[in-house]
Amino acid sequence: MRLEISDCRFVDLILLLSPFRRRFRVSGLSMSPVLQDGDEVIVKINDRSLSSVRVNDVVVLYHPDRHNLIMIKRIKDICLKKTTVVTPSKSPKTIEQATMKARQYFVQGDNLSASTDSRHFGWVDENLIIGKVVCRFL
Amino acid sequence: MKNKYFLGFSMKLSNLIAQQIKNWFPAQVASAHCDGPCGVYDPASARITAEAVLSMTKKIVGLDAPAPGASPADIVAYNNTLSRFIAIKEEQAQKTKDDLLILWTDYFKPVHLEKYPDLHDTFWKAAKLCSACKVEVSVQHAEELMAAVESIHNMFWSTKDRDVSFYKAS
Repeated sequence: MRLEISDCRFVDLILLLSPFRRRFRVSGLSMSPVLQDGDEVIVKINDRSLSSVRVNDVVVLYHPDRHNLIMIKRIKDICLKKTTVVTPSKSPKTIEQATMKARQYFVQGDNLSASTDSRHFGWVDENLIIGKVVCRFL
Repeated sequence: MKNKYFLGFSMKLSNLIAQQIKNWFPAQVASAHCDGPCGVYDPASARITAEAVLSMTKKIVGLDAPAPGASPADIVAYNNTLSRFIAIKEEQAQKTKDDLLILWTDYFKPVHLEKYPDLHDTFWKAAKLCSACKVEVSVQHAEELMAAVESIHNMFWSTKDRDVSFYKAS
């Protein structure tokens, strides 16, 4: 089980120039002691295939109820939830329904007493995950 | 040797680049705060723990001590039960205090103080009662704590213009 976040390598700095990496600055203490207030991390942006995201990964995500708020949390559990998707069909009078399995994530801060997370707002949909923290920025 | 020199140079170069990036392109903020983001507060958690304090206090008071000449097993069982009751009472009293302090400091705002001038006094006394219930075995203080939690419950929901009746689980 890997809880630490690796340090930035030279290649990570190079990759930061690509659109698939973004930097975020941590504000607050809910990820203490691994990440302190003011620390910066490099995030691998969600490429719509989050299969690489695993339990114990640290992710950056949108708050489920306040989409303008970006949070950083650790994934504690992943589940598959069946959802019904309505898609427009070629015929204007009919609609097509499809059942698909969507991944949902239970996220928590490392510092439980100083964190608002899935214990309060529940499981988080996949589309709210911005990306996975790959390393600490220098 | 060359490899070591190269690694050192690489680290220095990385640090230099990182500093420049930080200066020129400030990173977006990812919040790692508590409470603020969700804004979900409810005095129910304090009510449940305060009820537990009252319940455990009553159980401690009602617990019969072993009679003189009781078997060692009975004495051990009594000590074990009493210790558990005390441990739970103290834990729940501390949780009640924590929950009340969060409501007091994070939820209630100056605008609420205008409507309830005794807000600070109510919370201060309730927090004191939590401490008293933790330290003592007093049914009276435990009942006063429940009454304080009820008045906080009424105060809290009236700030949201909602009529939520107070109830007990036990």
